[in-house]
Order: sequence, then C-alpha cells, then structure tokens
Amino acid sequence: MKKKCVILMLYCLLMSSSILAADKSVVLVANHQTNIEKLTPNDLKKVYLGLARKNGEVKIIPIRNHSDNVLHEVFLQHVIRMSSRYYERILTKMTLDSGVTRPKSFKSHNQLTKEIESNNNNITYMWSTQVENHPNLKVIQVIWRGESN
Amino acid sequence: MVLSSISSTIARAASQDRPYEILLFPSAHIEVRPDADESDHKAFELEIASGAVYSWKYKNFRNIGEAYISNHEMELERLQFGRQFPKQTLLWLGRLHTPLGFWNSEYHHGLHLQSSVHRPGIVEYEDAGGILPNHVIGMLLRKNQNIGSSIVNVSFAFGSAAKIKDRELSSFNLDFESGFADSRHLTARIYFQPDELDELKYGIFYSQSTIPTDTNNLDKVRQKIFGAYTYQNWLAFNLTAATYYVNNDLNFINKTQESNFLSNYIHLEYEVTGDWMLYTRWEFSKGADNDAYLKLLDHDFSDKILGGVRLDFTRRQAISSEISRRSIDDDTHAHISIQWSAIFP
Repeated sequence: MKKKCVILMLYCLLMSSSILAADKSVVLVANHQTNIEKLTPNDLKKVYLGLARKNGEVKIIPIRNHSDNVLHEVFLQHVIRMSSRYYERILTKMTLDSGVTRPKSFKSHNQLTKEIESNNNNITYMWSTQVENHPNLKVIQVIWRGESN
Repeated sequence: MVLSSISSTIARAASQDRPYEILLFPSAHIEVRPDADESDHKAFELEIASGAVYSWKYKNFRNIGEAYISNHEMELERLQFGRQFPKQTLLWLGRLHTPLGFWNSEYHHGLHLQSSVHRPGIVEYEDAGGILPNHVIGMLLRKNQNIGSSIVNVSFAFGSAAKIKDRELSSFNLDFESGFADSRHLTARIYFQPDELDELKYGIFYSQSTIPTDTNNLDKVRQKIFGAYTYQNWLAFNLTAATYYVNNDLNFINKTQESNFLSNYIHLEYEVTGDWMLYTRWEFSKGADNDAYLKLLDHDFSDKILGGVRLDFTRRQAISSEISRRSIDDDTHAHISIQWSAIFP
C-alpha cells in the first residue's frame, strides 16, 4: 500500500535516528547451510504474505523479527510495502479464512537466531551488523541499504 | 492482568513449531442513544465480549473453531473441517460464514480487524437484528485461480441457514434446534483481484434461500440476493462499496406476495498516520421502508450515516469512537459508540 503518511513518518523516524550509518543495511538471513537462493522483491513479499512457500524446490519458512521496531518498520516499508496494521490484518485473515498459521515472530534476538540456526528452511531479516557475529548465519541478500548522511 | 497472563501463555504456545494458532479478540463496547425512546431502545448499553478462534492444520486437513462470548450471549460461531486439494482448492464442512459479499468474509467477528465499531446493517449478524443469512451449516468450496499476477477467487456455499422465529431471523446453530428442516441456502461469489500482492478487489455474488417461518399463515420466504462490491485503496484512502438487491417471495398459505429492496453502503477510511484512522460510512436503501419481508422482523433496518476515529495505541489494541445518525421512516436517531478492541497474541 502506498501510504504516504506512513512512509513520511517512517522516513522522518529513520532520518532522525543514528541508524543511517553508511554501512547499516537490512539483510535477509538464513542458516549457513541453507539452499535458499536470492529472491525477487515480489517473491519475498509473497513468502511473507503466505502466498508462496518455495524457492524453486526449496521450502521457505518466513519468520518475523520483532526484536527492533525500526528494523521491522524498514522491513514493512521496503518489502511488504504496507502499514503494520494492514499487514497484521492480512495475516490474521489468512488464519481465520484458511486455517494456516501466521509466520512466527520473535521479540528476542537470541531466540530468533537460535530458531534460524535450527532449520535450513527458516529465513528472517536483520541488521547487517547483527549477522557479523554469527558464523552460523548466512546473508542471502541485502533488502535495504542505508544511505550515507 | 488476566488478559496479559492468558496472552503470554498463548504467545508461548504459538512461538513453538506447532501447526495451530489460537487467537483472542476481546472487546468492550459502550453505546449511547441520547434521544432513545425507552420503550423501544435502551439509552445506554455496555457489551463486554471476546471471540476465541483456533485453527489447526495437519497435512492437507484443516480445522477451525470459533466461539463468541459476551455479557449478552454465548455462541459456537464456527466449527469447520476442511481439506486442501491441489490447484488452490479448499473444501470446508461444518458451520461456516457465508461468502455473502465483502464484509461478511473479510471481518466477521474479528471486530479488531474492521475500522468501524458497527458492521453495515445489511450484513448485521442474525441475532443482532440482521436481515440476511450470514451463517450456514453445510459446505463451502473455495478456489483460487492465478492468471498472471491476478487472482480469480470462486466461493460456493450450500446448506441450511436460517428461519424466522419470534419475529427474528434465527441462524442454524450447532445445538441443532428443530425447525430448520426446510431451510435451504446457497451462495456463490466470484471476485477478481488484479494484483495478488494488493488488496484491490471486484466481486459479484448471488444467494438463494428458503427461510421457514413461524408467522401465522406464512409458510416460508424464498429469498434471492444479487450483489456486487469493490475494495479500493490509493494513497492513504481505503474504500469499500457494496450493493445488495434483495428479492423475496412470501409464500402465504393461500397467496404469494413479492417484495424487493435495494441496500448499499460506501465505507471510506483515511489513514492519517500508521496509528490514527478516520472513517465514514453511508448506508442507504431504496424500497425498504414498507418492504413486506422486513415487516416480518422486529428489528429496524435503517439508512445510516456515520463517522468515526480509530487509534491503534499498540500493535494489538485499538480504541474507536463513532457517531451515527439513523433514519427510519421519518424518525432520526443518534448513536454514540466507543469501543476498545484487541487481538492476542
């Protein structure tokens, strides 16, 4: 959804924070042994909307990262392109309609990391700097790159 | 504190790798009618309620149960068992929501999902003064067909739905009360979604019901509904518009009387920010004032204009305030509503 106001607010939020360091990016992450390959923006959105669950023949299990509000908002703005309210509504409706479960979410970064490490099909999004200390994690692709001030 | 404890228990369960989901939809709702005639309507009403939904999936099999409990009623809303077939086809059996238009499928009892406090009158629940069947015991078949990046969705529901009892439309519940033997219902709906990654939709639907009655000399009502709807969004605006043409044949013992009316609503939302939303809705009808079918029912079916504001003060909780003006014949009444709604986890 092209919610200009939301985007404007997020932009202000991002601009006002110190996260816009030149090397700060949001990356798509999986277990280092994964066979999941780079996804197109639309395929990634489909995965997180519950519309697709495979990358070629490889199953994908999306996991939401709620450990950092700004990170999650960047993800919503650049990948899902919907407001948080709208995205949650679509996921809930999917459960109410079809009985499928919503993508799991984690507030704890450590638990999230363990979950990603536990299954080669799990994917999530993180700040690039958070991946550097985890040799068991693999960056599949950059999904947002912060611009230099 | 109790809610928080229940919520965290459910959240812990949901965070495990399990093929099920449990959702709670608690709400509290205050309704004030400043100019209420005490003989007809209460001037003040409070409803505290919660919907509870579980969904469960095993291989291609699905199960959804939904209960609704409030200080006025307790109901097993849905109990449905499904099987997923290839080519995006899903078959459900049980007590289901009919795919009658947009609102009934999109929001139903998930109050937190809809922006407004009230549903449009034409799709109001049967036990809250609704005039059309929106639950069915039977089957529901749903199929998605991708055409490029577009989706065509076809839904077909069939079964027993409603009867008229004590001047109210009464839906077929899982207590299997008698009197529904002659109740028949069918709804077919097709919608087109130009982009599967967007929510824009255009839909048409048709419904046909046989509604037995306990009214003197009136055996049954044969009802046909033709309708269309659209859901649009651009910039920060979301628009839902729907039209329902309702045709009834009232089968009295010695004659048949026909009645027709048209009911429409236009619902517009403006997302001021990610948290604040303004909305307005206009519900208007033609031919409903002296409609013979509507006169069989005690509840008022009114034209309505409303406006409201919703604040999502956390990711899972919202508060909405709404004022509406309802017109029945030459009378107008104001309603003021305030509602807290939430979804956990």
